[in-house]
Amino acid sequence: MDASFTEDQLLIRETVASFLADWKKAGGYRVLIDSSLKFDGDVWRKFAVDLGFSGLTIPISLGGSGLGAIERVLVAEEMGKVLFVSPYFATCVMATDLLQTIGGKVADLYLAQIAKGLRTATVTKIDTYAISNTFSGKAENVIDGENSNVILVVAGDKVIAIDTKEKGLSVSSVNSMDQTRSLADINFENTKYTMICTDTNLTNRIETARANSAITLAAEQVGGAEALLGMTVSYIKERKQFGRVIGSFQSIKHRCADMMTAIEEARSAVYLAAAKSKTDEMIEYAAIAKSVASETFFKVAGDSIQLHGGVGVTWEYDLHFYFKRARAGLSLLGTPEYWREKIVESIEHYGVEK
Amino acid sequence: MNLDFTPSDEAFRVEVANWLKTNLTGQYEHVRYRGGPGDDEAFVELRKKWEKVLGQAGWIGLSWPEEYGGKNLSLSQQMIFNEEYARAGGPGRAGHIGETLLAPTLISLGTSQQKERFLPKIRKGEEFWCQGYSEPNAGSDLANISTRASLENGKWIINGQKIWTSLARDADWCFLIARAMLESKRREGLVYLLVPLNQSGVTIRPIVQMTGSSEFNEVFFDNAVTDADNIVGEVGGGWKVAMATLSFERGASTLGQQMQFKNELKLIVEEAKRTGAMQDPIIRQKIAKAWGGLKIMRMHALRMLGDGKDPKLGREAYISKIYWATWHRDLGELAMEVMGDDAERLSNDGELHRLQKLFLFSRADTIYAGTNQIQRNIIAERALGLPRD
Repeated sequence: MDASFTEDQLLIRETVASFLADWKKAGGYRVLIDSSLKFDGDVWRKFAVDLGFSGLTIPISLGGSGLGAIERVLVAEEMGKVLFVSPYFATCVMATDLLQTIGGKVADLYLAQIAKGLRTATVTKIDTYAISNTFSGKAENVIDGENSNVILVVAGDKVIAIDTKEKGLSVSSVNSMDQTRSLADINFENTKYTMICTDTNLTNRIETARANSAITLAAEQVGGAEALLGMTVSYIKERKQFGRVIGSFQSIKHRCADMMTAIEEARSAVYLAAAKSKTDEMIEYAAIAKSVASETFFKVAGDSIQLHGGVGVTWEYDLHFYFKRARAGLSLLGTPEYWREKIVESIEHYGVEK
Repeated sequence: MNLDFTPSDEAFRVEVANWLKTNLTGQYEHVRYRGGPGDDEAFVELRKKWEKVLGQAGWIGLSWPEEYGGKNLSLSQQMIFNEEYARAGGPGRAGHIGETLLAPTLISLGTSQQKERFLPKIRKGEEFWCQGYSEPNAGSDLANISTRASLENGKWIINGQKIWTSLARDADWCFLIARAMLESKRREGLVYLLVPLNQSGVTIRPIVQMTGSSEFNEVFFDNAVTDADNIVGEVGGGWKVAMATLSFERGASTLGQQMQFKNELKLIVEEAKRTGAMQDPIIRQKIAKAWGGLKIMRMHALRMLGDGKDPKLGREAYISKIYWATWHRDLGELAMEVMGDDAERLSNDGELHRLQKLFLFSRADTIYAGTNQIQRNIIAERALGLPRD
């Protein structure tokens, strides 16, 4: 029993933090948003290939680092702090988790390419489709749809992979409120595909993959909330009204204390879920992490705007980017209500003991 | 990070569970799930007797070094004991103030004579303690205490009043802070004294709470006396000792408290099934939230214990009290919601249902041991570095 991080884990965190600090110093997400770029290929190559982060959780036998959920939440927390814009979440979290959960030769092939940094990938679910030798259907709001060169499609009892170079595939950009995570619509018309698996029990496996990804999303959200608290505390230590810094007023101090309490609550939930990610209680712990962290991020983002006063609602200050990311993250990979319902179903089934 | 227990820890868990299964029987069936915050008046004599049983079996002083008769158990084994104890419905510990607050204080700051005199009686479950800190004008502002102590003819003479003293009527001794230097202010000039309660200079009056029961007391000292060497630390150094005692409040025993909370949540789920509230989507969300909160609380404690070698005052330590207290108060409200119309009904003999007691007593949780407001000040000032008022 040891709830502290190993030296190696702390080193990984430090490496990511220093890489991202440089990215942020060079302008971070503002540069991309101002130039309407979806992501920076050079930055991604450095991060994915040179530093080897694209294969963090992919087995060593497939060319990855073979690390686990704990390492990945530490990485995601750092990304969340600076709203890192990259294909990491779609490729190394959503697509990787789906491929790893499904397994098999074809999935391994894609995983090996992701580990090498050769592939960016994303996941989408399509309910109305036609599948024969080719696939037809339309996917909306696909995360990083434009930045991926393979799309994993969940269609009924099948998971298929479609290379974006295939004929009949068209991607159109979506203008999204949260500009730090890009969305796209993708149309498939008689497009060639590669079968990854057919499984009548697919729903459970998809749910497992999604829960795993949700833990990492929750970690990002903790990072985002942490950054906001830092910005807010710095601001209220400087800003003066009535002849004193506003950070000395109890109404403001207490709000910050509540923010910190909520952040530590979410942090505990995330670390716990990561530590339990290989157990049969993973879904329940992921449910706690995702519901608590996404609500915390949103609450802290709103509070941060409030405590900044007028400048809090300006484009110039960074808060709105976090606020928008937090809003998007509430519903991404399942709402807090959805996950809490999962918890109650488990309590009904196993009692409170599980 | 590895949250699994070792095989030897698991073996220890079985040992504890088996011992409790064998011993928490017969007359002690009556005290299962009884006692503890909100229910400390229940079966006091029997619970004291139970402490002796625990003491004889060596279950008191788990964290103490062996030279004082302790077991010097690892943090994970202390956790396991507390978890199994609560899981088995072990009664609220009549001796916990002596065991977990005074004893560690004496072990680190007491004289060898004090250790010899007091530790064995605590370990055997023979002497019970209470804590004399709060006063009518020194609640959140503890440094404002005015109880006085003066050394006359080789005895400390104590005059003043303490309040909100848990378990005082059932205690033999009280450790308290008093002002020894008359002109002293705030944290200066205090003494930390060990005072026997069975004497004419001490009057204890129960405070009837909104539950109708009286876990808290007022303790009046009217020329009460204790021996000159019953001082811990130096004259003028009482504040430091008092704070050391408070620092022992965190730790492995909070995990036992969480197991109690889990027992309560279990009751709430059963009640929700009985009343049909379990089908209400809003109640379902609240139950899920409460369940998640329990797991999070446990993780807070594990993060605080860290690798067990180097306990640190991290952020999780700062938020721990406000988190569990608020969670528990919310649980009390949820209990009433799931009871539905029955929430208002007392038993035929006018007794509160366990869930009603939980609802009423949990209002005190966010007040004692540092109110939520004080906790927020501490978090803002010490953890976030915001200026004092």
